[in-house]
Amino acid sequence: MTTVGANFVSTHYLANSQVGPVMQAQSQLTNLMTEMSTGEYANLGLQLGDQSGYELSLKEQVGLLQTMTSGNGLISTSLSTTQNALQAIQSSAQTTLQNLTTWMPGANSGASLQNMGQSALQSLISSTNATSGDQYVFGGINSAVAPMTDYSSTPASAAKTAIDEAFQTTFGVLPSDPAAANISASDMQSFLSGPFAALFQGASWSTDWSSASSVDTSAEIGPGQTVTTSTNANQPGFQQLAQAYAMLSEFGGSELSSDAQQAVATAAASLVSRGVDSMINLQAALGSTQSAVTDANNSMSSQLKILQDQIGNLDNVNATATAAQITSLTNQIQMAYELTSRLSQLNLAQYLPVA
Amino acid sequence: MASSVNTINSLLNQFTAANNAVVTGLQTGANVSSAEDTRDSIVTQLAQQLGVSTTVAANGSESIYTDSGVTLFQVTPRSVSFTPTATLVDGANGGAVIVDGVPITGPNSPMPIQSGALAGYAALRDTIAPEYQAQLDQIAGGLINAFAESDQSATPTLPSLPGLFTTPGAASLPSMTATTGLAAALEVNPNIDPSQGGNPTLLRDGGISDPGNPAYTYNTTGAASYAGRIQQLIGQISATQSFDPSAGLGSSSSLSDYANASVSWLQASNQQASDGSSYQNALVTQATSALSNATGVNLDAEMTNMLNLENSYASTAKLLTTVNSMFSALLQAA
Repeated sequence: MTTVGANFVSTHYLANSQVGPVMQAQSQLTNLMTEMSTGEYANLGLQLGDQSGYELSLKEQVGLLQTMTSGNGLISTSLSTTQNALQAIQSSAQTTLQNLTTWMPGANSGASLQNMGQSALQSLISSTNATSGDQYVFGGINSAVAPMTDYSSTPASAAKTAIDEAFQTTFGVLPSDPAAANISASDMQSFLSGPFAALFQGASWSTDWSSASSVDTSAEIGPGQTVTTSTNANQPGFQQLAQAYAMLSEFGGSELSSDAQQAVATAAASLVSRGVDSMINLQAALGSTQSAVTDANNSMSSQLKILQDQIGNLDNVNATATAAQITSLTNQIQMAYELTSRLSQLNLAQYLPVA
Repeated sequence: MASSVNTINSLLNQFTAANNAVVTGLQTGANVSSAEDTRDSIVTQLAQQLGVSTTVAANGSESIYTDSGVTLFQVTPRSVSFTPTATLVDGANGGAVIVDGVPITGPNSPMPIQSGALAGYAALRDTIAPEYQAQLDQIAGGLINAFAESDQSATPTLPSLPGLFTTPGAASLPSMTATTGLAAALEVNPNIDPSQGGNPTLLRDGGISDPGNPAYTYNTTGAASYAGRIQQLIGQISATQSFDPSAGLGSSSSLSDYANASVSWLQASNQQASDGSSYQNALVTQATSALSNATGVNLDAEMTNMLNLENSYASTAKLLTTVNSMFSALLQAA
């Protein structure tokens, strides 16, 4: 038995010394290969340890922001549709207002009032029933139902029936009755501002004219930023315009005296002009929502970039470093093979002359 | 664990034979190196299953103890027993491994073993898995509570009920201190699942818990773009709620934070175990090389020794030959 000293190495250990390192290097090599091809750590959870939860919360925020951004796309579309419709309503109202200002009582002037009213009312109803996707943009939260009922349908719509009834109750005749010519301008005026106006407000409006909900849709356009994203057909502007157009179309072509017609035209002009103001206010309010959505999108996209950079820092592998590590591991393994083969040659018996 | 216990028992029996061979061999003066080698190799295998320490008595008999001090072998092997449970129900503890009447694993063990495969299995079964299960159950309970529906009447009288997420036959919200087995039972409410005849629009309108009872309906008008309930649910996920602190992740947190913390806990344990394992590996390499150097031989040194012996044998023979020829010469001269 030889003395066991600090420098003593057993042959068994010498021969097997390279096995451990080679195995370790090979297992590292397979991990690195995976990382090289996927660009992510082979075992992310092991790599991050207790930072895994942080990584997940970052990914959760990214998901939330992406969802909000794509939701904002839909909101923008619907807001643009709403703006276009409001623009159409407003310009039709402007045209009507101009025509009304130049209108003079005379022969056949009643028919022109009626035409004005009918076409404007039709355009108001069709613009109010504008859709974005399969949603009626003026429906408030009740977006699955067309907000405005067709007025000139057959059989007569509830709105028309209600107007005829109100006229009959007040004057005892229908507008188309020749006896209606006896109605004075002041009587007409008080009818228009009294029983007739009441048909376009409150319960009568919701029953006869509008199916919209007065509750507007709202959405979270950015983290913690909830805004109203629509308007609805129960806004005063819609009521005023519908009222003006309805009185023109109902009482314009009727048997009314020219004084009474003049009263109708004056009342309608005032309503239309208030309606236009109201539409402009709605447009402004929605415009500010549109810009809020754009701002939210911008801020979210920069926030997304920061978050994604952060996630990348956590779970992305540096390709250059990995490639360098693979090269060095390959060298190491080759070196170990070389050493094993050399060590197996290192045997005193090899150097003894054959007896 | 059962197979580990079987391995231990069979190794102890082999060890008995080897140990007896050593003791009798020493008494009769026979060569016991081979039996000692066998004995050492068995101890090495035994140490893979559980941590052991050994002492050798004056008569050469070797005793084995667990690293916690329970006797595994002294003259005769001690019985190592374990009754496996086929399927562990939620929250139940598995049986302990018992050596010589003393439990060496589990929460009730006075002398728990610290290392070896058996200790690892026991830690996983008795500590890590139950704790993780408790966390998953807490997450499930938090989920049910976050999506719960409350009475929407002007003067609420009815209790809140499980909404989108529930457990089969649940008639009330789960208590956060009794969530055992909740994660396994968690399901999407059949009232909302179209494949089970449910109505998915209830997610928007509320009333998932009891579609027949209007008290739980949030969207009373049935409006298509009603988003109030959904926004409320989104808020609930990040709202602070209370959890059972015995699951090890605190008592108050939001649902998403709690789930993230659970992942962190698991991966941190993973990292710790992996670090511990590479440290132990390095230790094994060192110990093996030391052992190999202490008990092994260097062939070159042995070869040199042999050459020396050969040479001295040759010179001795030469000397003998010379003496022999001197004697012959002398005898012939006479």
